[in-house]
Amino acid sequence: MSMLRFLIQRALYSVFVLLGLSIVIFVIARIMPGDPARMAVGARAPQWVVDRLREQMHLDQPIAIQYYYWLRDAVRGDFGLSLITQRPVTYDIKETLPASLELALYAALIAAVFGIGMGILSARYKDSWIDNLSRLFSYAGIVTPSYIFAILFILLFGFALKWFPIIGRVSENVPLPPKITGLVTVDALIQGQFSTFVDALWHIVLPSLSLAMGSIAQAARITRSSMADNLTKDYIANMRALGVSERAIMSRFLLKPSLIPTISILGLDIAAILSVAFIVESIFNWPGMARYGMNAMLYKDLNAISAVILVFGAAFAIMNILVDLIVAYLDPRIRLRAAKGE
Amino acid sequence: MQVSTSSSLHRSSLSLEQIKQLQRASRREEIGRNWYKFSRNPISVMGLLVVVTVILLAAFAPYVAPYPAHAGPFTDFANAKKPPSATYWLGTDQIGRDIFSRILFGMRSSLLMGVVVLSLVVPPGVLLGLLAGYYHNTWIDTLIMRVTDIFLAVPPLVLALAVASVLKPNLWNSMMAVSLMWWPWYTRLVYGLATALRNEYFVIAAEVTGASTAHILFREIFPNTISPILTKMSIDIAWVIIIGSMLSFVGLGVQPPEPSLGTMIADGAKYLPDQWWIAVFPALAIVVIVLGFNLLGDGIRDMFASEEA
Amino acid sequence: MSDVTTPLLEIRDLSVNFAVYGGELRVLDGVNLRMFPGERIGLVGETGCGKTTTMKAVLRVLPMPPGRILRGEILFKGRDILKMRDSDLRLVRGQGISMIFQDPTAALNPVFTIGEQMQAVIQSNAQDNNLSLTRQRSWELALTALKDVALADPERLLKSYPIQLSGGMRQRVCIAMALSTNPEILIADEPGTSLDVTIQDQILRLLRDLVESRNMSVILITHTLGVVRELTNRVYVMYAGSIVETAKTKKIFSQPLHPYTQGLIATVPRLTGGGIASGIPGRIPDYRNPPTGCRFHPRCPHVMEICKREKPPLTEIDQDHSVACFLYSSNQKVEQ
Repeated sequence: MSMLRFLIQRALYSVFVLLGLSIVIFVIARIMPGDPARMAVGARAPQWVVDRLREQMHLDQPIAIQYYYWLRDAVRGDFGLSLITQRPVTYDIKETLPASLELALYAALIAAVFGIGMGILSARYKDSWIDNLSRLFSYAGIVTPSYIFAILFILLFGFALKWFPIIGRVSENVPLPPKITGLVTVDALIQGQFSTFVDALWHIVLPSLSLAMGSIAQAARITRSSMADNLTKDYIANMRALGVSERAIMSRFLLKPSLIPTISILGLDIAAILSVAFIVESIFNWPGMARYGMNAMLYKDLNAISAVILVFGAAFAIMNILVDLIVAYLDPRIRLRAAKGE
Repeated sequence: MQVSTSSSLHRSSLSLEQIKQLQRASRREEIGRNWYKFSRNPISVMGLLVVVTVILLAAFAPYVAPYPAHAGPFTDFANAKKPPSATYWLGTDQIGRDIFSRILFGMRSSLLMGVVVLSLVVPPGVLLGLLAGYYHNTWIDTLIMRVTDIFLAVPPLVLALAVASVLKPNLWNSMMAVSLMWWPWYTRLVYGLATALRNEYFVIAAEVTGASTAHILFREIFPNTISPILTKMSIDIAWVIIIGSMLSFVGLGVQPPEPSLGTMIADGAKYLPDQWWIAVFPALAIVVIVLGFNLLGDGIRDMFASEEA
Repeated sequence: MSDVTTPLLEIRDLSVNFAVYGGELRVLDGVNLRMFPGERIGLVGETGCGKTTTMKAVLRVLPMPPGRILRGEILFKGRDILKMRDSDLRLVRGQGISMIFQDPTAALNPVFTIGEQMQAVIQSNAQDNNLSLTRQRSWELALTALKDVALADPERLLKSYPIQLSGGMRQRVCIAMALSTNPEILIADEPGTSLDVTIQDQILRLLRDLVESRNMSVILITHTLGVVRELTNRVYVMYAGSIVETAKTKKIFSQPLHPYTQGLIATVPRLTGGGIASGIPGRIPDYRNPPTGCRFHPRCPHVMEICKREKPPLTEIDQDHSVACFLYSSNQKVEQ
């Protein structure tokens, strides 16, 4: 129950932070030179149309009042019309968010499985060729921006080897499954359309891998070093001295404490994954919210930009809370401290 | 060995001036020792060499580049999309410009971005962190750190993209955009350090002897935060360069015909896979720069880390 | 009246180095120790003289690297632990020899409950004997072990994490864990030092009662001579990586031979970490460049020329009383 209090506290704080973020976004939107009303109706519209729109948009009011109206609508889920699509921004986001979520989900999964796996192997066979290879890989992963990975993957696996498709969520001749969750692979499975599932999975490999590369590297590096670090701890020596089998020590008593830093870093990293998605989605023509946001930015579609950033902020906040929960679950020290109310 | 909080003060027979001299001397000695430690690690030295080489190449680009004119609005359609050869070491782009020359000039804006952003970001970030940390649990702390949290609520790239998108796209505005989003990381770093340091004996001692707040912040607390700040800066510069290249990749940074690695990659991506060199070489250039700074950064971190151990 | 049976544990010429930044620490320099069944040995010396390192080496739990065994043998019932295969080593660890670590807080895994850790110990040792225990059974055994160390409410304790326990409770848990394997030899590394004096006293009394009721062989690492006098019947004195003197406990106190031992006894009631308050000037040497010859010579009041050149061997100069010091070498008779 005290965990619940912790959770509520975190959630409330996130709401506060998001409110602050909304102010930042609002200010950013207003520093743009030019008249938003004029932008909305186009250069050739007569002045009286612009004036009427200014009034409607409360642009004739003081900035604080403008913010109040903007926020009131935003809380109701109304971010206005998108300049590019001429549809409500909220509608566009509902359409594009699942694709981004699916991509991030797979990227996170890849990062966790491969990153932690590589880190464990590296620590287990420290200073062997496996370790050296994985450290080299980690370094490459950390210094190479994901959009460069995207381009290299397209070149290598898309064009040269032709192993994976490089554009879109499914092949052209494959119909999308009826929308349930919005995640194509999941929907296809639910519907029992196995070939669609495989096709979608094939499409998601390169974009999600491009996104995950940095996190794989990061996770491997941290897992390796925290395992190596914990291996010298007295509690491991104690278990060994008392005759606990090496397998139990490695797979249980060493692994769990070592994964805690990995998971907290990985959690933050997944947020970073979301942000890099802006570029990677554009490269792979992935119909997600990040690509939508990217286009909005390129066309100065302020309503869409604001909404996309707020959604990102919310996703980031949820992600952080989730990571805190997982870490608290793994680490009784944090859990018990939280229970005591600090 | 240990010095207890207050009693050592009374016992000390050295004058303040003497203590300061000793401190300065020990700091000089420390620098020498750190450099020795750093120079013993071949990987860090390699990083340093890469960084120095990149800086020199960028600085003297007009003299080093085989075709300096190609860094501007130059076209030579007869020689467009030529693969790497003896004349064009890394090939030519879609309008016949030498890619090697353009990479050298592109590195200039990348490095400039890194340097300018960090020098814009570190002073205010550090100052706010010092203030919030020293006035821990007061309204100053609350105000600064809540605002910091707000800026940290979204990955810096997202907000930087947003800011860059509403401004006129060019190098300076993209620097502004990134700077605006980067200071909180330094505030948070220094805040954590300063909250711990404010309880150290030398800070308390300065307070007891009536030193001014400015003196405590800048002469007592700040010197002890320098090594983590430097470590973070050396790794951050690589990040800033990556983010800068991303901004120009999507068209929100340096505008053509000015060369920038990001735009070169973006342009080249359209000619994959046949004219692969147009995109791949600028991409490699970024990887090399970032690798250099990372190796250097790791070296600096290890240098400071083993000192504490 | 020494036993003529084979020793239970014998350490011969154990030498260990530690790699550190820019060099090697020569931490153990030929440690010799012999233990017969039923003996209760006190291993004494200043902090940092290599007591813990020696005992960790016995159980092969020294971190390697940075640790490195240069030479030596550690014989448990005549078999060299250092050369054992993992399967044999497992039979030694726990049920052969078990150890109570110095710092109970560091010795308990912070992210597992006491129960999970004790059950792992109990089950692993059962497996080594080809027994399989049900979860229920190992839980019960863990409960019994906790009751044996006089911990109240063991049910709740088993479900707790180390952080929820007081220092004294953690120390008792560590003792319970080490005893849950029914070891032939118990190594106790400065039990209770991290606790306040009254609790430390309780812990030591508990330990003495347990050892007596189970008739175990014990190696007690300590730098508190009072504890040695009360709990042991033989003493090994260690200085800077070697044994400098050994004798029956009574004899050590009545007739210390090595100048270092004499200094130690003179500083009773209590030694502190770091250096010695009175008695022996100077501090433990730098292991990077230890003094040549006898490592104690820079601090020794009776230093001779030979001490700077040669290392004195540990020689029996009286019945059951050995010392490594040239003052007593060859045909010189013991003076008092």
